[in-house]
Amino acid sequence: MKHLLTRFVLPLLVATFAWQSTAMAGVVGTEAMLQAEAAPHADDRQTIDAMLARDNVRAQMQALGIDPAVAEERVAGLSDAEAAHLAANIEDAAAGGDALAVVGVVFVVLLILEAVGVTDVFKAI
Amino acid sequence: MSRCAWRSATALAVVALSGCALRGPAPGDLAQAPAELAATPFFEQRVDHCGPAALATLLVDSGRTELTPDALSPVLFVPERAGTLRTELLAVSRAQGRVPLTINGSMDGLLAALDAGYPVLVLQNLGVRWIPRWHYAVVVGVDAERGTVVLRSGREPRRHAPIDIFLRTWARSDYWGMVVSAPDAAPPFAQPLQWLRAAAPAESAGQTGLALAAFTTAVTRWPELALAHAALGNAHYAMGDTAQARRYWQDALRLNPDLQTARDNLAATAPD
Repeated sequence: MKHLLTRFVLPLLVATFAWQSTAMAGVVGTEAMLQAEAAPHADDRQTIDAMLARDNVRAQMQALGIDPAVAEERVAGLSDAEAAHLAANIEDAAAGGDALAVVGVVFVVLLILEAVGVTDVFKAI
Repeated sequence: MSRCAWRSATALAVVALSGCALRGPAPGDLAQAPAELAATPFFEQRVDHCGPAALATLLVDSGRTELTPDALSPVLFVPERAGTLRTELLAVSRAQGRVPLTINGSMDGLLAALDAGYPVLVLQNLGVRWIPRWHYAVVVGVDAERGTVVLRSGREPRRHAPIDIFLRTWARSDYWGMVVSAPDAAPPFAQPLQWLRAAAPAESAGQTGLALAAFTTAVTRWPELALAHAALGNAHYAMGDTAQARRYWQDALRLNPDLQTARDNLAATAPD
């Protein structure tokens, strides 16, 4: 169910969201225009408030350890579609950052994977 | 054993048997490998701060010479995730006045960018899917003789990663890569829609000046492209100049009478 939600429903919401949010203001912005050109028939759109998405991301950022004032600035720098995307995906989004906490047998497996060239965990950083 | 782990175990067995089981894009024509971008700066990363280090590398290379990873960390680093999100790499590039162009995820796309002089920030998973170790690094060259990709990575200013291993680690992010460009000079390899898509988010992110500059570039470079004129109209509208916006929307409609958004925007702003 989660899988289905992530794969189909959320992307659809994200894709239709920007169109809707700017359409309500009367003039369609470029981000929404390009999406409309790419998928002209994606019109079973649902209304997601742009403000709501931004509030959501701001709250999630704070929960992830970002200072409230800085979170405000970071959210302001996102586009409507990016805010909607992060609101739906921030938990799953890959965060590049090297963290690797492994013990015991997993470590041994990684050593083997490294030896046969599947991973590059130990040398790269 | 989870399905994911099982698949990886199977992959391991196949790798062990054949030596090369994971398919990547063709390595391109390495005989034509572009010269290494030796002038690209290097910032040694702090633990978990590969995102700020990699983006600072690109931004400083693009002329924002005063920037440092430490200056970018407060707006890029996510403490509880011990890392940086791709979306924010794009957002912060724009906030710093640069158009972040995600590249065609392939070795050919990578080589085209290097050939034009643009270092490429890539997202790699140095581990495996079930024990991920996501890492940002900057590709500055390809060493055809040694069969390696040359990276600014972690604490290494010139890390040589064997091409096959590099491709495997890069494939795990679906070959995600980006370059940054000044808004008034689109890279030669930029495709028109790719350029417009890279700049479009600036409009609703409070970076309208960047959008205006990037769309002006688009109209100059692709004068027949209706979408570029429409986008420039949108940027003018976002900056409060409705009269100018309407002129560009009208230009867009002349080039493509079927461009509905330009027609709608003209209707929405029609004088009473």
